[in-house]
Formats: sequence, structure tokens, C-alpha cells
Amino acid sequence: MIDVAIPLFLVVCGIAVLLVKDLMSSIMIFSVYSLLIAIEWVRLNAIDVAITEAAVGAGISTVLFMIILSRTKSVEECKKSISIPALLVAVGVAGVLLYGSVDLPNLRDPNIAPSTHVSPYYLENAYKQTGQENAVAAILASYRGYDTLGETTVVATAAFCLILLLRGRRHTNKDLKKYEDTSINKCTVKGVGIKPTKTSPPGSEQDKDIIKKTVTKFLMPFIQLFGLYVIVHGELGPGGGFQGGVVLGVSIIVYSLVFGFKEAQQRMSVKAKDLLVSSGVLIYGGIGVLALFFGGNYLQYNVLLPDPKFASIIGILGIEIGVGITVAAVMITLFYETVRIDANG
Amino acid sequence: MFNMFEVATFTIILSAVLILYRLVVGPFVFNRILAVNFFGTKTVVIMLLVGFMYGRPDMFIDIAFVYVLINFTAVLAFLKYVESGRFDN
Repeated sequence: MIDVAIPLFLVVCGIAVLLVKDLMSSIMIFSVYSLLIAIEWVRLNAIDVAITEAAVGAGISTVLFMIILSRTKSVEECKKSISIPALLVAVGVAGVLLYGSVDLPNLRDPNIAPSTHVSPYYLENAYKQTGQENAVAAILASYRGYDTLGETTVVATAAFCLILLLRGRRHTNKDLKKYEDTSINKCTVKGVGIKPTKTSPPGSEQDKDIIKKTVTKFLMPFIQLFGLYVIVHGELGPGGGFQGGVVLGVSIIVYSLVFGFKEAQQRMSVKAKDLLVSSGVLIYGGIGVLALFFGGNYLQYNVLLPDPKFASIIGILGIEIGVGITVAAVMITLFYETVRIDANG
Repeated sequence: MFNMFEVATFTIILSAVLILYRLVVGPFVFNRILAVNFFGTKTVVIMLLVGFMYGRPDMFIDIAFVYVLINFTAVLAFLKYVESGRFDN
């Protein structure tokens, strides 16, 4: 039942994203598409991937799309015309992919290459060698520790590039006028023009967000606690540094959406966030260097403490925390720097 | 014979079809916002049901939590855009 319905929904959403006229609706349908993909991951029992898709696909990317949308127009102006060569290329690629999917192995067959080749080794040895109950965390942090270090560095570098590109920009009056001409702030979505008539007495204007603010105020510690739980719990269940970091970053983004951008900057200043981006990578790299001092190889955790198994668990926990700090700070960077362009000028 | 979880999943997918119709057709932006919110809720329930069917709901509750939080964020962003059209205030 799920196996038939969810792919069908995916196709419907995919076509709808293309056909819908205004971009905001496209973004909404795309976020539902992301939710559906995550159900597929759950169905395939890939819980760690599902949790990542949830945090990044449905959450952060939707918010970032919306921010970009607030700087452009929401409705397409030019009429769509179909370009024949582009159509041919698209149909050709789709045909090749469909042809390739014929040869895909049946996922429920236990004798296919992914189930017989590498994974049995990890499943048998991961707990014995690293002390991690979740084999995914063991592969990510221990067997493929260098790769994860590389990924974390890449994420941090991307944030630095964003800061360099967007923060240094000082807007001249001409630039600002250009923005006004393209009417960035004009919201032309259908149905938005209906403004509620003001019946509230003057003075109660401040309290119109009171439900939103109160709920967020109560929710905030739980979101952050849950983010920490996902980071620390990575060795036992789904999750880890990346997913937990995203949840932590989302908590600041929610705060900014509800209480305003200025208020959020008082909680998490731009400078503190910049320091956190690099300090996470430093923690990760530092644990590697620490292992060198104790006489092991780079990122060889089991030399850090007398008991090798406990040392391995502690080492992996340390790098998960490092990854979490970096990812959280990078998510906040993405939000802050894209929102801030005007405020800077 | 179907068990309870399969019947529940079937029902929720049926309701998801209706929501999907509103999402794709929905004349106004508010229909779509509500549809996105609804779909998030349905997703969480489907995930928990799949978790029960696989016999380890404890793992799936973690994902369900992330979904609830994240969907909340996305809907807040939509509403903020509809309200003021900008994010830096």
C-alpha cells in the first residue's frame, strides 16, 4: 500500500511543482515532496537518512528558499515557451534513467551486492571494534573518520565563503534603488491581498503575535535539548552531529522568525556564531592531534584513555559534538547572511 | 487478514490524497499552508505506524520529533513571508 501510494504522490508533487504559477506554491509543494521522500527512507529502514532529510530537506532548505523568494518576485512574468532541444535532452535523460532502473536489484533479495559485499563486515565488527551500537555512527565517525572531517571542513568553508561574499558588500544608493525597482518586498501571492479588518483597539497592536511568541518561548528549551540529545545519542540510535546540529540551528532560526531578527542577534551574535563555525572543526581536528600525542595515528581514538573501548566511545562523542557545533553555526550563518544583505547597507 | 496498523496506514493515506488535492489545486495561498501543515502531521503518523510495523517504535519516535519541529519552522517561514514579505524585521 505505502509502496504504491508514496511514489505516486511523489510523481504528482513533482509535476505540480513545475506547473504551478507562483513560486511560493512551488516551494510549498516541494517541501511536501521532501516529506514524502523521507517516508520512503523510513520505509527502506534508513532511519539516519530519514532524519537528515527531515532536518535539511523539509526544514532548512524551505526556509532558505523563502528568504530568497522575499528578495525576488513571486509570480512568473514571461510566458512559458517550450524549447525543443531542451525537451529532447530532458526526455532522453529520463529515458536513460528509466532504462537503467530496469537493472536495479530487488531490494528485498538478500543476495544482492550491497547486502553481501561490505555491510556484513561492518555489522559484525562495528560494535566489537568501536563500541558503537549504531553501525551508521561507527562508520561515519570511526571507519570513515577522515571523510567526515573533510565534510565538516567543507561545510565550514562554504559558510566562510558565504560570509566573504555577502558581508563585505556595502550598498550604494544606486544598488538600493535597484532593489526598490524590482519591488522585492511586494508580496503578490494570490489571496494575500485580503487583509483582516482591524477591530482591535489601539495599543493592542504589539500583542498580535502573543500566541506565536508564548508557544515559541516554551518550545525553545525543548528544541535545543532535543538537538543536544540527537547529537549525544548518535551512538545508540539514529542521528548524530549533523542532524542534531541542524536542529540546534533551527531553534535560533525559529527564534528569529518569531521574535524578529534583531532580537535573535542579541541571543546569538554574529561574532559568536563566526567563532562557533571554526571551533567545531577545531574540536574535531584537535581530537585527531591529541591521538597523535598519545602515540596513535591521527583520529585513532582508542589510545586516548587506558580503556580502549571507553576511549573510543569518548573520542567519537567528542567529534560528534564538534560536528554538531559547526553544523549548527553554519545553519545560522546561512540564515543570518542571506537575511542581512539589506540591513547591512 | 490485515492488522490494525495496516488499516490505520491505509486510512491516513486516503486522507493524504484529499490533502494533496488541496495542495496542488488550492486556489489561495492559505489552503496550501494548511495543506503543508496537515501533510507534516500525516507524515509523522505514517512514520510512527511504520515503526510499529517494523517492531521498533523507539527509533522512529526520534524522527517523528524532528519532523514536528521542522514542519513547525517551515510553516512559520511561510506565514512570516505572507505577513510581511521580508525576514529581516
